[in-house]
Amino acid sequence: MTKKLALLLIAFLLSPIIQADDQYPGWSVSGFGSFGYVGTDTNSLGFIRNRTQTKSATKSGEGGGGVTTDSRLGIQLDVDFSDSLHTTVQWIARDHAGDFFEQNLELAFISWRPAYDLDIRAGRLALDTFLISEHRNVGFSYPWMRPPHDFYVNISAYHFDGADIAKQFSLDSGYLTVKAFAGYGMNHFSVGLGVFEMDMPMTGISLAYETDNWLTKAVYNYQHFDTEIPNESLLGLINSPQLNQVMPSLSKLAPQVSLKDTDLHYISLGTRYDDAVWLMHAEISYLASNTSLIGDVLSGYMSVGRRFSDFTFYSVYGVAHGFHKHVDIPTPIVADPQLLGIQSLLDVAVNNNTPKQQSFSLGARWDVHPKIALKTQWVHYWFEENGAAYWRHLDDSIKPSQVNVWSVGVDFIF
Amino acid sequence: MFGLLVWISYFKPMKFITLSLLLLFTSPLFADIVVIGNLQNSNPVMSARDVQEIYMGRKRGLADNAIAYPIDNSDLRQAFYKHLTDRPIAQINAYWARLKFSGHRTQPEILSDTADIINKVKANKNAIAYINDQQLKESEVRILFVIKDSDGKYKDASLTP
Repeated sequence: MTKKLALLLIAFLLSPIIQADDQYPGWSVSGFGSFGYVGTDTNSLGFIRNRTQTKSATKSGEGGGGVTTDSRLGIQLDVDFSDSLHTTVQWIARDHAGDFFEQNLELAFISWRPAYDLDIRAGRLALDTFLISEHRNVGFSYPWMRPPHDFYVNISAYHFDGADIAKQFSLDSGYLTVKAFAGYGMNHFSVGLGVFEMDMPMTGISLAYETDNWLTKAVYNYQHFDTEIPNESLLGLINSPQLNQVMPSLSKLAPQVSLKDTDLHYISLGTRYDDAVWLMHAEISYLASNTSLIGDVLSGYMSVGRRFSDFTFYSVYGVAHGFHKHVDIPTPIVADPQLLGIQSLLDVAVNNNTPKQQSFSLGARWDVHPKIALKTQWVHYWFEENGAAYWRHLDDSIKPSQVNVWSVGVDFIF
Repeated sequence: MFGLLVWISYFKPMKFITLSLLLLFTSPLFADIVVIGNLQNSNPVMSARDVQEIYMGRKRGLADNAIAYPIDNSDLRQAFYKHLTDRPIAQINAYWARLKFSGHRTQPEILSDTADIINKVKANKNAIAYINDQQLKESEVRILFVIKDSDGKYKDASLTP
């Protein structure tokens, strides 16, 4: 009843531009979901799928993850008001920092197609930074348990409020789509110091060329931090006059723990090949940042899969390498254990934010039904010193240089 | 063919019965799939590539640049996509999940009743659908493309504008 009223209200508001036809307005409800379990062989590092998650998976489940890491349920309402006017609303139940309803509202836009090859959308849109960033929640659409961790864990936002315009061109045997987008992202995610309410204006352009079996995409995305990370406690330490007396020049570290008014530039190139039997994905990206808290990051992965009837077997190699320059934390003039502890804490906060990890995966997908797939994946990670920046640091112990992560799950659509 | 069956039946009565039953029960299952459009559809005919690109969401425009409205037939969906793309329906579903849930394309509406499908095509100038040729009334809709049945293996049939 409520749905009908909402539909009637939207139809009434848009009635001047709705096509007079028995077929319109037409609507449909559909969805997708994943339920999985993730286990690891360490308790000192917590495995996360995305930085927006509040819980992490560990060996004994102390991070609160395990089930929540890869589990989510999405529902989507599509309404066609005419052949050129359409709206989509998508909401996903998942582990996400911040407001549960608002942050999980993934799509809410109106789309207008003034011509068959032109799309203009306005509202809440998925962030289009990499090859599969717009549908990374839809496990049924890819072979793995989750998008390659080395590459996708670091995208700070799922969505933004704004507009995009896409024009399609027929080119040889394929189609080239040029898209420009701009808007304002309001995304919440967990950092070691609390929940970061990240407001960021952003803009970008993407070029995608698609043929029968190939999809190749290049994206440039600019983001600017309008808000500050919850760094009050750190700044309190760094600017403390007493501490600056025993740790000389400590206050010079203040810019190192700040993000406000800094910029991110993502440049990526990715390709996917799928001939119904062989399946290949490869992407590379460079993140340029003018803040030492994030630093520049080069990341990439390559995945190869082979289908045998309803089974897909695949392997993935991924790498993320940060170029953050080590910042020296002033040494206390007296070897007081408490002061040494503060020095260690500041060292983690300033110097542990750059990834230096590689991974290798083996996995399988079994399509037990046209709309249901069972999956499993084993991943082995290698870290350089202080390189586990994409993981939650759950205690002060020395971090392992290698970690195994295994997972099982089911993906479905309806 | 009949002579062959008589010959087999003379020596192998059980095999004759089996073959006869097979022919009796398989003939209605195998029929041509016809891709149909509204009588005012701007495309006189379509190629296999046109049909494939519209149903895979890559192409949206018809000959007059109107936006196509493709409709899926749930009874024939598996055979239709298998012929056009050589992919099982699970792969087609995964492909469309990517386009649909990223908000970029509207998946073809899936209908099961042939009368409903034909009525939709009659009502919408830009609608395209596919049905079993035995349920076709040529005065109601236009045939845009035919996938010929050849003993259960489908082949494209060329149409001339």
